[in-house]
Amino acid sequence: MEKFWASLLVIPIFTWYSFHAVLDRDFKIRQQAVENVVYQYTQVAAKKGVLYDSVYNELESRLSSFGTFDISVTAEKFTGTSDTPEVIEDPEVIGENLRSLGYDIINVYVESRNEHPLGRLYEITPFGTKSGAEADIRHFAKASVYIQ
Amino acid sequence: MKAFFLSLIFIFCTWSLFFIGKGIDNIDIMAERYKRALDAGANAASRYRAYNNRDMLFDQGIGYGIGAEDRNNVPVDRDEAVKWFYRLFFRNLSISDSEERDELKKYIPMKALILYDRLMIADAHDNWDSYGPDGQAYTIQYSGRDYRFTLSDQVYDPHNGQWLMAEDIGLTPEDRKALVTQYIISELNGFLKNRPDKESSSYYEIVFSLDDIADEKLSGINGVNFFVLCEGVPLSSLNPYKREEFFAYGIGGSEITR
Repeated sequence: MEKFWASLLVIPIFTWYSFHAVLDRDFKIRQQAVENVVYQYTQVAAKKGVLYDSVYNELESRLSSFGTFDISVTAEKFTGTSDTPEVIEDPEVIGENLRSLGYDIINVYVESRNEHPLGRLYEITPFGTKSGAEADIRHFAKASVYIQ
Repeated sequence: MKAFFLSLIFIFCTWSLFFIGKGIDNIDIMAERYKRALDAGANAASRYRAYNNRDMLFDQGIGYGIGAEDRNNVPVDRDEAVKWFYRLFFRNLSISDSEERDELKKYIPMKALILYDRLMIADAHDNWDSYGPDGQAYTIQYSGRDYRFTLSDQVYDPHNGQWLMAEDIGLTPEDRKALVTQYIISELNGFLKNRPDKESSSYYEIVFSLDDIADEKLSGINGVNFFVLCEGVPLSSLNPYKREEFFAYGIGGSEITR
């Protein structure tokens, strides 16, 4: 009987940790991949001085294998001695020749629309009660590169 | 009964771990992000638009005796270079608050400009005067005499007021490069000698490869460079229970070319 009660306590903890191990690893691998993709495509855009439609579409398609993402693209231009840049956003950036327009920096920010299950796991204890932790964990990535 | 107590001990241990060490250990993700921020910042410092103007593109050999030969000199606006480094570095880490930026700058103890004929270093407060307001020339003793070296094979002999080639004083190009590189390494390490690492309390040691057989370009210092050391900007991990701070150091560098 004691073994029954003991296992009743131990099994949920083991289960919780098993889920944690799997989801933690899944998050890390995907997060690293998302960041790699975003950095890579931002570098391409900065090197070319243009974020071509085709490059943007390819970025979207690469990210789609990790879920649904909101993509935000901005370009910044510094003029004079001011540290406040002139900023243009998504539709004005894509396909424009940023270099010839004098823009200095291109920023790409992506954020998954869906929470990663790891966040939900943190919100519960191994025994199913609320842990009190707020963990909105989702994949995101940001890259800013100087337009060469 | 024994099993019951053992399980109680097990529960105690696991719950301790649950609250103390639980969470995504995202240090490896942060390390990568951090390195990219350094690279992006150093790249901007070495590429910003000022280098494209006419003054930066022509006649930079003047004043270095042998003129057009080996003209890998380029004038650098050091304050602009640092400003562009910060712009890109902080953007990549999504830090936009100016107070937070100022706070984090203290974790970047060295920004160095390895120029054609001198080394300039700014400290954590972006103060260039701590190393020398005009930097330090590469004055190195060779064969019992002081010479002012450059990043090319041009060498200035202050005793005779003459520009020479390294081979004139018996140095091969490889030896000249190794000599200058070792001098720069020792100066960079000397600048950091009072700066212990935040975590280990041991001191930094910067080393450049001197004899990379795979690619000569990877051996020693070949050109004008922006170089930065950044130590453990304390970024918190994603762990909702344990607000870990990320302490690791990284270096970034990029060659300034015309």
